[in-house]
Amino acid sequence: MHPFTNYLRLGYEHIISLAALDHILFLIVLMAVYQTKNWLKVVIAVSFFTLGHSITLSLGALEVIKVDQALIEFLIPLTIVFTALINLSKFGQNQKSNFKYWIALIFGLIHGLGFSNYYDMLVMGESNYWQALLPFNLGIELAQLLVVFIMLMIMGVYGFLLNKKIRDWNLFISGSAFGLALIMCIENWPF
Amino acid sequence: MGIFWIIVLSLFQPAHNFHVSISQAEWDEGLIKCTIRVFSDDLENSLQKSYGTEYRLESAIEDERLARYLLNNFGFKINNESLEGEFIGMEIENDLSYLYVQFPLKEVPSSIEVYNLLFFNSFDDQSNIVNVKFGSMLRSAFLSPRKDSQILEFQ
Repeated sequence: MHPFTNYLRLGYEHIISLAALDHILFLIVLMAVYQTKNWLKVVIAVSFFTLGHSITLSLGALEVIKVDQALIEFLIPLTIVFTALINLSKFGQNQKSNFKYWIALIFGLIHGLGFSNYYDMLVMGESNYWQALLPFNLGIELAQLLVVFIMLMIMGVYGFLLNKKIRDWNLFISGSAFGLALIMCIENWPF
Repeated sequence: MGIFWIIVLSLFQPAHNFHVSISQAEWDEGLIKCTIRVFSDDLENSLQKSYGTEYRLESAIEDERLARYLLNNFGFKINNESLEGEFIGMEIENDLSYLYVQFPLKEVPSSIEVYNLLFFNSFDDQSNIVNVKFGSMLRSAFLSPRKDSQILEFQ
């Protein structure tokens, strides 16, 4: 195997394993408002999320973003709380709006800060950005697209076969995620 | 009901447990020179499991038990024979520690088996990547508790 493949696998397995459930929870909430026919919007939003955390992960070299880890652990569930709240507004449920892309990008930056100690591990000597970080980020993206694919199937079954409204799905998912993430915020209260 | 929530919440830890080590091995004038990069806290935890909770990572530098632990868990095999390894030293840089080992090998083989079981006794989700460079050929092994050794071909 070439190192590229192994770094790709490392990123993929990191998301698929239970280690990154907060990541997956964010994705599920982010896409909860979308009808299956708008799958492309979901893929774009998730890619913006990947772009966001790839940026902060890649900035690890500059040491500009040595943010207190306790604060990050509080902010990450807070992004889920906010996304769930936005999903409950009419504005957040607008399928045509591009607002979700911006949320995904900006909240992605925060999730990437949770990876702060990954940079030094992945990048050393000959393994620079292109050899290590790029395939690692691609692996994360692949895993996230797999999660999106599975969720779209579930949401499709819910919408078409059971003939239910995606609005009800959104209320259920965003409501549960709001509760869960709020408890995580309180548990990780940094102040 | 309370237990259910404790289980659910314990699954959602924003601090990602990233259980990884990455090693570079390069053949140079009769030696495979290796740098094993590990997270310092993983190494300390692992040593504490063996030597007791008071054990500090800094003491490991002068401790020959570290060499034994490393060479028992990291190495190469050619035709099913383990290469004799030598521990060179260690550097601690905050979050990361660098461990240096080398293995005498007269010439570059056409295939070599790599094993790296570091921290498998601590974490069942540990992944150890070993990048091996012989001349201009670069190969990589991905090792985990499910597959703790891998044969790399250099043709």
